[in-house]
Amino acid sequence: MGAVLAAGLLAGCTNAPVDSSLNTVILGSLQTIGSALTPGEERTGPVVTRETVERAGRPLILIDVPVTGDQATAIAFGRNGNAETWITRNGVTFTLKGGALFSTRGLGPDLLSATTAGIETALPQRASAKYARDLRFIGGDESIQKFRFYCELVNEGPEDRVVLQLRHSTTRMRESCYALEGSRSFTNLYWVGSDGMLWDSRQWVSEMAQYVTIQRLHR
Amino acid sequence: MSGKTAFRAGLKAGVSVLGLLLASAAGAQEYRPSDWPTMNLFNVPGAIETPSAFTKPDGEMALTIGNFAGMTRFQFGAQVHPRLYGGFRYTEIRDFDSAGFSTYYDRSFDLRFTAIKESPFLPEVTIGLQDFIGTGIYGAEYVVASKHIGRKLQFSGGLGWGRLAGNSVLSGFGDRAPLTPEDVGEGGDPNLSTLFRGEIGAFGSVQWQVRDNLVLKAEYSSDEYQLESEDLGVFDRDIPFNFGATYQTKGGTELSAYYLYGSEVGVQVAFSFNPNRPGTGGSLDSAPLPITPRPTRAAAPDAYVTGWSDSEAGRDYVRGKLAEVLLLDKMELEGLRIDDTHATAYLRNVTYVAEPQALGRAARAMAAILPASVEVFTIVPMESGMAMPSFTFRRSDLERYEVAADGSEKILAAAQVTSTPARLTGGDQVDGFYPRLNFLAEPYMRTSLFDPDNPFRADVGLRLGAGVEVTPGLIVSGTVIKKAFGNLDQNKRESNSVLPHVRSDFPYYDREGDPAMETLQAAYYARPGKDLYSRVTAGYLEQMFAGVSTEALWAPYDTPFAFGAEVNFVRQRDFDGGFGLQDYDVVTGHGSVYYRYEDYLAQVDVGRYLAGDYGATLGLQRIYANGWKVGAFATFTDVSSEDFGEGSFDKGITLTIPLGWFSGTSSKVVPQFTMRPLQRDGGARLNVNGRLYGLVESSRQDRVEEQWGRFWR
Repeated sequence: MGAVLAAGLLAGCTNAPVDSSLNTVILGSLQTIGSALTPGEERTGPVVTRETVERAGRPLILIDVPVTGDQATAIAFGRNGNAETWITRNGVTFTLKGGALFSTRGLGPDLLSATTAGIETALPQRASAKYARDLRFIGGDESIQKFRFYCELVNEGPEDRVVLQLRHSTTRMRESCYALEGSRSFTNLYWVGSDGMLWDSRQWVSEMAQYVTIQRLHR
Repeated sequence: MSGKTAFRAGLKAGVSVLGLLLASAAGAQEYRPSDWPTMNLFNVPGAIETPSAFTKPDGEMALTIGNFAGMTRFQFGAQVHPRLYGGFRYTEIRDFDSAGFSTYYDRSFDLRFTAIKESPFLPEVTIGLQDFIGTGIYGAEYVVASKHIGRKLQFSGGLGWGRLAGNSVLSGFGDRAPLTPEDVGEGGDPNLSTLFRGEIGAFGSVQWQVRDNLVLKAEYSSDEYQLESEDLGVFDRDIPFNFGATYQTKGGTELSAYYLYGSEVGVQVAFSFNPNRPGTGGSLDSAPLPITPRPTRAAAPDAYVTGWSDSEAGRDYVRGKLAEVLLLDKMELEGLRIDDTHATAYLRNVTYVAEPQALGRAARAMAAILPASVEVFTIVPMESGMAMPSFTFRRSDLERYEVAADGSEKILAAAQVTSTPARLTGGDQVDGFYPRLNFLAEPYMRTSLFDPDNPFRADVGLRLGAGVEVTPGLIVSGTVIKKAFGNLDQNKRESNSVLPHVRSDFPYYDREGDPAMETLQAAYYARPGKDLYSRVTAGYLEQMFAGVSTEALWAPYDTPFAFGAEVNFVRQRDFDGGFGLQDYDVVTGHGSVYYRYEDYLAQVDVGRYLAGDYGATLGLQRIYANGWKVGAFATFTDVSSEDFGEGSFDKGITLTIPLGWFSGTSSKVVPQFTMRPLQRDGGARLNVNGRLYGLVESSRQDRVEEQWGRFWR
């Protein structure tokens, strides 16, 4: 405890606008240890209710990371062409192109980028398609690692989909991708409305983060 | 999934739970520690005491502690190249009544080269040097061949010299006197004259991978422990056979238990980790600002009006806004030169180890703030007031490539680099940035290792400092330290050095310098010409010396090599850490060559050392793109090994650890640790702060391009 106190006192002792000193590292480590020792409360339901979503009345998505059990809402943060970037409260972003995941930032095992050329037009039209996708990651050695996947997008027919108590008539699209090297593969699922709106999806991010689900809570 | 806990906090708080060893559990995709060779009691791949020929994956590091018969070995090693492994060992031997020690401490270095990699028909073959610099109590050389039979069985057989020649099945070339208790005293010479000399022994082992996490081992050892068993009675060696089992955790940690030489039980724990396998699986820095493209000129001609940059007020407004936004990304703006179409930002990156990450975030901030008419962005990273190689981007490229799958590669190809950019002048500075006052208050630790009286001594305390950056590059600073607790003052050893006591009086400095002024100096950094960097530092430069230090470095952005020159005139400081000086002064300096090749940095310094001796230092480091480095150095000067004293010449290993690697959050706190088995007076260099290559390194092409994936991160 003494160490915590000492580090706390020290941290105030620089007048640079950004504290980049050793103390921040020490403090950060202590906080990390602290949060490891006191696990957060178990979450029983979704982090938002339909009521709060409607009251906010703005575009909103809900992200689930099953591997970690984390869930967060994200608001629109930026738009560049057809790329929409959504940000969670603690600064993690998901960028989607036509609903297909283009990149993530701040998860840790992030997706640096993914080609979406084949899927970004087929998905809103609910059209079957075949295409290749290149997924890029930053390796532990900082190198850009590119994996080529061969994918098939299939229209699996209409399905009603409930997203946070709201029922949508959608079409289920299944995207099966496999890589020739390393026998990697993933299967993404998309539930697309008749106007092309993506209401729900399960999309692969990376080997370590696995799949995330992305649900549209509000247009 | 083993990495689960490690990046668990990703969405929640942006911090992550990690220790060095926990971290090794996660990350890389093809991560199967059970396929790797297990480590033996000497911390090299092997069975129990004997080595095998196999290698660990490239870049892997190992920490191994093993004990049997009152002998404990603390060891660190690294597979610095797919075929080259280097290791350091610190040994404690109880009841070793040699040269007047009851408990004997020994340091030794190993080197292994794998000449042949295993193939369907050929075994793996490795040549090893064990304890090749030092007392040589573990001195041995070997050639060993290993082969898998199926997936579960591996056999190794080898020939050994020195210690491993106990059963002397062959007589080799030359003579090699057996090690006697009397020899154990000096040490430190490279034992080159005896390498692969004398009798030759044979050893062999078999390992059976019973399950994915369990290996059973049996070996025939040709190390007869003549010295320990027969001469000194440390333990009784009855038979040459050893048996054992190794349990491997998913994270690659090995726990081993052995029955050795028919009389002893041994235990060992070996940790394995790799800087290229961060536990967080990637950066946990919060996401960067997205880029919102400008409307087209046709759609919004008003957005493209010019003339706003004509007034001082207009430029100041933009400068202030950009500084604010950069601060959100934990960076600072030193200056901005701007006209209607071109903006040059002088950026102080205090957060990101990877310069491309700072460049990308600064470019995003500029795209968010600067008026639409500004199409060209130049970013000049600033380091101690020096303008580092700058990067120029077209804004429309940034807008386009931010959301392109090959955007990282494309923006690199489109960037223009200027090795020596124009300096920051007064009118372009952010108001009030200079002069700039900084205070520092942080804990410090100072250690003294491997003293036979007490192998681990340390002081922990508080360091207080203040500094003023008067203008870009001119920095006046001072630090004092006050010990809180520690035992460095218990070192009563008197230096027996026949050289000027430029380092070996360190116990006096530790005893009398509490509190002490560490440094009080003025430094001036500049870029005096194309591809040139310079430094002049004057004052109390380090714990033991004060004076003037000057340095110049020629380092173009895109060459693998760089040349440096340093000349210092210094006088030795009083022990009490005050303002007083002693009589000894010296002119010391070096010419240096730096050469970067793939993942390695070689450095050769030739010149005159603190004790007035002339010679050269050879250094080689394995560089990891995320900032880790592991290396070794050795200095050879005209001081004879007798005059040098114990250890015979100066050498050591260095380890550079970016602390942000553990948490996944960027931090420029990247301490470097230098570990010498012994500090003597020969081959000693001045410890001046802020040498140029260290400041320039992260802005050179090799480093920038290997980290370029972070541009859009």
